[in-house]
Amino acid sequence: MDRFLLRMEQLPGMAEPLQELLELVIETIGNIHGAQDAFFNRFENRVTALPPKGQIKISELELDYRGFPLRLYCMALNEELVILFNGGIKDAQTAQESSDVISAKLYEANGFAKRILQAIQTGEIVVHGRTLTDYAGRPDIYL
Amino acid sequence: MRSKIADRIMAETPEETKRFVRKYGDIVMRVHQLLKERGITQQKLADQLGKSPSEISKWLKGEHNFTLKSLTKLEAELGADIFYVPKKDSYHVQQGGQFKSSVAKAEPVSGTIPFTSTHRQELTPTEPVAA
Repeated sequence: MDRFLLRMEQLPGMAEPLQELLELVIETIGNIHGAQDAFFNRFENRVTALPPKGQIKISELELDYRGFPLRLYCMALNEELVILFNGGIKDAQTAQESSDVISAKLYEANGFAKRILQAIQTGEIVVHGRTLTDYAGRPDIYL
Repeated sequence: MRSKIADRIMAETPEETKRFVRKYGDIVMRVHQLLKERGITQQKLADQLGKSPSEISKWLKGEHNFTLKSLTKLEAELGADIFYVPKKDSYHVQQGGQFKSSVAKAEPVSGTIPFTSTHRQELTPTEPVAA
């Protein structure tokens, strides 16, 4: 997430979209409405999780109006907890065709999502409402 | 854990951008809530409005860039308010340092949702009015 923010704020023309995206994630989703499906654009990919938990969906976050250039990959664990991954600029019809190689970030997000889900199932990571901790309740998690 | 970089960027975000995103979120939630509440599919709404399903999909995703005309058309079809213009007496009212939204309050879209609105509360005469 921080890598995404630092990279995007350096790119010409991306400062305002970045501010809009952060407002959406932190204020609109985080503090007002929660992680409702209406805010998550096209489920780009599905990671089949270990049974019996079913599937975890990797979503794209954007402001859904024509021409919005940024995509941020994320995984909503519940309505209060959204894990943000990396993202980039989508300037083509598909992630694969975009010049910012966001398909690589999506692939990476899928890998993290799988690992996080496994860790939740084994108890390495514990979900407490809006927060994640390690098995001992510590906020720093190493996977 | 909140990112310090995100906090810094948000601290530099202009009020105009904050208001735009807040209203965008409120409208998206409100429209989806009304469709769910009334059991209306995008196909059905397209039929009712005489539009193609793809055009309605663009409307609902904001790709069409809502106009006053399109919003009121949706309001008429769904039979409920989506957007309000606050009356003079509540126009500058602030609560806890947060500006008030002029969009109908959206409740979570799961289960049975009673219609609620914020504008009626805003119009109560007991509210203090900022100078």
